[in-house]
Amino acid sequence: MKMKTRTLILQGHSEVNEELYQLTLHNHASYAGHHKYDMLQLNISYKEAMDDWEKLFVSF
Amino acid sequence: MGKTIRKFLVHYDMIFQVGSDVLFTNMGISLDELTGRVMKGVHISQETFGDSQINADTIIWRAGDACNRVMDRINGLREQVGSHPWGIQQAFNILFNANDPDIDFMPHGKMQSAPIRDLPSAWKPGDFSIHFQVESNEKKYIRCKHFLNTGQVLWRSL
Repeated sequence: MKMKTRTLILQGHSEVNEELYQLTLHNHASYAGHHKYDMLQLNISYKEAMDDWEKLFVSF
Repeated sequence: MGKTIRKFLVHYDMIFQVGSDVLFTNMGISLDELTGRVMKGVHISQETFGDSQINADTIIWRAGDACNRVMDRINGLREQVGSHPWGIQQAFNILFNANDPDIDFMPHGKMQSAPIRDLPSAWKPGDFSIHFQVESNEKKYIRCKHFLNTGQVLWRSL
């Protein structure tokens, strides 16, 4: 029997795109729920992640 | 983000990292179906316009040795691309040009499609997702809301 894949949907956002985040949150949660994936929202924007390279990769 | 991904891959087989400017447009396609039989450590979308060959706003990280190797290679590029405005996306560009064996570089239009009618990867019904990239958050919001309200794309030009 095939084991179910444990999957996490990881959504990035921050206050700089809060309105957009609120708009897409339900869509992302619906997708995660449809497939019984877990979901986590990170309070970090793409730009922040790009700007803080050291912070982003120091633990890799 | 990297620290978080590393941490959660201990508990998960797969992580789909997605930005707030992406909408899932086909709920029926699972991530296993999306990636098919290609068992790479990372699945990421190619880009078909602009200067970057890769778009890093949708990434699938699959737990295992291949994924760890990709993370190590990205980490090794820190000095080279650390000051680049694209950050990790530029690292993926370098790995794309090196034909990295542990990464599945998906054609644009498979993992994410564009709200740009002129592109071969322009969104169409049945596509997995639509990505409202590049523009200001205000413009992204308008296009995203329009799509959610109507199911139709408010097309933009190249």
